[in-house]
Amino acid sequence: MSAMLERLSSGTKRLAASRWSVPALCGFSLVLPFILPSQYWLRIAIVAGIYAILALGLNLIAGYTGQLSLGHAAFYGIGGYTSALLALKLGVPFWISVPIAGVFAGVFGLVLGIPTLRLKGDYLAIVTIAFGELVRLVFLNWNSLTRGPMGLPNIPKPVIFGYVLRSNVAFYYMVLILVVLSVLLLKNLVNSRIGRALVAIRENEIAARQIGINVTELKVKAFIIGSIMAGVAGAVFAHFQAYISPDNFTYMESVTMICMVVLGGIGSLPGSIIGALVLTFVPEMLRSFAGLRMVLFGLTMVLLMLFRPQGLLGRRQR
Amino acid sequence: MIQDLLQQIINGLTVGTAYALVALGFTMVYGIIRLMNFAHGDIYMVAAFAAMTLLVSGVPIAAALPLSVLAAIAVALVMARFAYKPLFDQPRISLFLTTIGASIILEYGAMYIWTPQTHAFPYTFANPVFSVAGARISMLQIVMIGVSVVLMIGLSVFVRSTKLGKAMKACSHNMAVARLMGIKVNAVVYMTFIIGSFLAAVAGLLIAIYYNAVYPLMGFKICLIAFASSVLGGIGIIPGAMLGGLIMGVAESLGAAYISSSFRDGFAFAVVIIFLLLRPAGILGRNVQEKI
Amino acid sequence: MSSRLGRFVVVVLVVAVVGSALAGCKSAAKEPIYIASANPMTGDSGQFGQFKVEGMRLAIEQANAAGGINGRPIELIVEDDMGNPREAANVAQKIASNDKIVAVLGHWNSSCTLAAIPIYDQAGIPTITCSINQAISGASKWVFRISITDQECGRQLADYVVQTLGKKNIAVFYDNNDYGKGEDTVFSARAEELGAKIVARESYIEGQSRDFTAQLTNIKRAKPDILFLAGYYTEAAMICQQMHQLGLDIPVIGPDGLNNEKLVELGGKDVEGVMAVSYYDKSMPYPQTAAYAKAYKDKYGRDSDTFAALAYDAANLVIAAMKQNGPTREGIREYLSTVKDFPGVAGPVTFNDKNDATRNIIVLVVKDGKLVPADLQPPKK
Repeated sequence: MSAMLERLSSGTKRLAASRWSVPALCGFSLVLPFILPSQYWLRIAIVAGIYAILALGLNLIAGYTGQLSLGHAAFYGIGGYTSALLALKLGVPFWISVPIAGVFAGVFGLVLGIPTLRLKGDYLAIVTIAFGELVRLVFLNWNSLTRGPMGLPNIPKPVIFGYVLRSNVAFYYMVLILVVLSVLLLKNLVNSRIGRALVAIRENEIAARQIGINVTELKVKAFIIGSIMAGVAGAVFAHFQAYISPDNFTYMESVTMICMVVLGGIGSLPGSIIGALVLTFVPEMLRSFAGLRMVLFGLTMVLLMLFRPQGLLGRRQR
Repeated sequence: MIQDLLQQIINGLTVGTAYALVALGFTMVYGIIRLMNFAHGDIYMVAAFAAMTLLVSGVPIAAALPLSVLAAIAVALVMARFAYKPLFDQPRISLFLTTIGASIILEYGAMYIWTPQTHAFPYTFANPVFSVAGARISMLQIVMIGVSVVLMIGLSVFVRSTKLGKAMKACSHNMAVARLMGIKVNAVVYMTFIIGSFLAAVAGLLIAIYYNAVYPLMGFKICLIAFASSVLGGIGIIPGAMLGGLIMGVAESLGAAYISSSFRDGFAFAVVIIFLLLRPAGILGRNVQEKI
Repeated sequence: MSSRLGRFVVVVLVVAVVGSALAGCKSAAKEPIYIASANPMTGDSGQFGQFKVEGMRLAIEQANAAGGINGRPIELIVEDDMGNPREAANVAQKIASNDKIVAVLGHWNSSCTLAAIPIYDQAGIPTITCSINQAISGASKWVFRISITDQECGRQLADYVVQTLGKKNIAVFYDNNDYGKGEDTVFSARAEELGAKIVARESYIEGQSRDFTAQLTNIKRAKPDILFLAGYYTEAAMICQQMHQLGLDIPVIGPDGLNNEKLVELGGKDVEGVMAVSYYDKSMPYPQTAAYAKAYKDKYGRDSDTFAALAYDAANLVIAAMKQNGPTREGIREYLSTVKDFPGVAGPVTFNDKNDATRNIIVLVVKDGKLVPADLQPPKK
């Protein structure tokens, strides 16, 4: 089993490393809307793209600085609700509401990131779970603002430079651009001195502090960047789906995101994208086994941890 | 007014003792192997569903209850053996994610087998209600509190007096040294799992009877509450879990009545955050510095 | 290096394309005409969806036995929205993007219908729902409501409670979603208009909590003589049990969300005497009712509930539309917006200018573990 995964992963690694991989991928993703057989699958591709942004941001927090955050859906939700409410109540256009949503989510990232600095591993995870659930409960109970369990329907379609993004194809390209931007942003971060500092923090925080790395600043920064990305993803999702409710931002969503990061490989950027693609497309293809879908998810997690904890593209940790 | 207060306290104590039982199992496992067993709450659920299924098939209650406890313990042991044990030496994140995976398998597996609806727990019995200073307490509530208290006392006595109990304490202090002293650490760990699951299973049955409702996600909710109770009382400390569970139950009940009913659901989470940030050692715990 | 790369890329592409083609294969059949059912099949409202599908299947079976639409059989595609508005949006997307589906019968929960309407509206697919929330009225020219608006339901219920039953001190306990809140608003306004008092008002969030003792204790303190429970059967059963535990022994009445035999299954003795709104009973005097009641009983072995009956009528409306205007989305919509007094088993159906049907409610009561018409009924309008 692990031999097969090993072969798959080294094949993928070689593919990723080869000179043709990036252009091939670009080409493929550019023509994807015209290859897919139906609008339904195009929508799935768009959702996969949104999750890719989420997974990339979470990878920065959990994969690179080792802060196991199981409440990422909270930032996703904050971004979504912010943009939706700005659009619905104040008529704010998409290209303004999305950045505001991202920044707002980032503020909450700061709010969560600072107090949790001293917490280790399991404790941090539990606090993030509690945070995620509390945020969801706020969405659920603050009826006057969020309409509680009834959700926010009729979120307007984005208007960019006078052009209304009504079709799935248009949305797809917008999401594609955002994914590319995310990757570029993170790649820059990760390949710099900061990136190496982040890995140092993950491996041994106390040692990293000893050699002069400003651990606090970097950990918080990671949280902020990751949550801004999640907020943007949430805003895009809200305008895409035209309807959001607290049920879109549950603990299971956070778990799914962590699964994507872990499956793709902690600390691997292309891994997060692959994780997002796999864990969005495969459950849809298995829709006929809908009842067992989540069970397979759980089983995947367990098997992954037992046989290949570094995921598909990650590096084996010590 | 006083009657209402008393009523809320009674209701709170009833569920609080069930919370305490689940928290106990959780904290015991954590105390020994530093494992946050996310699937612990789902053992509680497995017991409830097993009992419901047996009762629906006509098995008499006297047999159904013990059988479902056994079933729940069996499930826990299988998980421990196949999903947790191989990962003891891996980085903590792997183990943690595995417990989450196991929890999902149990929850959604239950959903698949029994459908996500809420099911009735098919056990009716005469349930006389007594009046205590204007508040009402039913036979069932008395039984629940009684059973939980007996179990908690039993556990304390067990840990303090028996050889196994002392071995468990030794392991929780320092497993390596305990092994050197000749304690069969593996056996102790399995026993801890068994005892913890037993307590959770009993709690699951009590709650199922009390609310007459069994649903696949009941484990998730109780797990967070168990965790909150353990942290509140001091994680890894047995009396801490008991205290934490009771406080959680009563505070939830009072909060729901006097502040807002939605308070009930968020209370456990708020407790977790506040305590972990301000006083991670809990009420009864001592702060342990991390050694370099 | 590059040949291995090439092979890998080819494999990936082939897998992707074949996979998606296979996935899209399901809807490739040409002959049948497809109608979709979008209802809760699982989850705490699951029983309602199950029954609705049964009603639809009966109508479709009968139509197919009579030759279908110009020889083309009708097929039902059943989707499950789980009673969850988010899932409803997903399901709606799936249905709307499938060009083979000509009509949708759904959803059941008001929140789900509201979430799905913008999607059906944008895609232009005729939809018949039995959700009662008022925001559905006139929301889209494609969406028709066959049951009743919560305005009407709440009003008639209030008239019944205050005038027919003579209760003046009412406690309201509602499910905090579109359905419950809508009902509460209308019911309470009308009840107060008629001179009753709302002595307590509490709410709960479905699926979140099993323990209602806090709210019930508050309600008990206000000493009401009847409880208006605006929610679904799952919570209602638990609420009734906890009411008795607390010694709150007053009658309970609620809208159609309580109207299901599962209420009895979950609640046992504690739900005896609970009253619920219905739109159908097998004893109704309309021409088709008796035949339907018998056909349903023969096929499924039990009596039809109100939603199966409405679903049966809805399916028949779509079938009649297709017979007259052809199996197209626009043709069906056109028929629905102009039909008058369609002979339904739950009464004649006409959609007004807001695409709402209207009817009189019946009150059912749980007696000896069965839902039967109450002795006292609301005055007919």
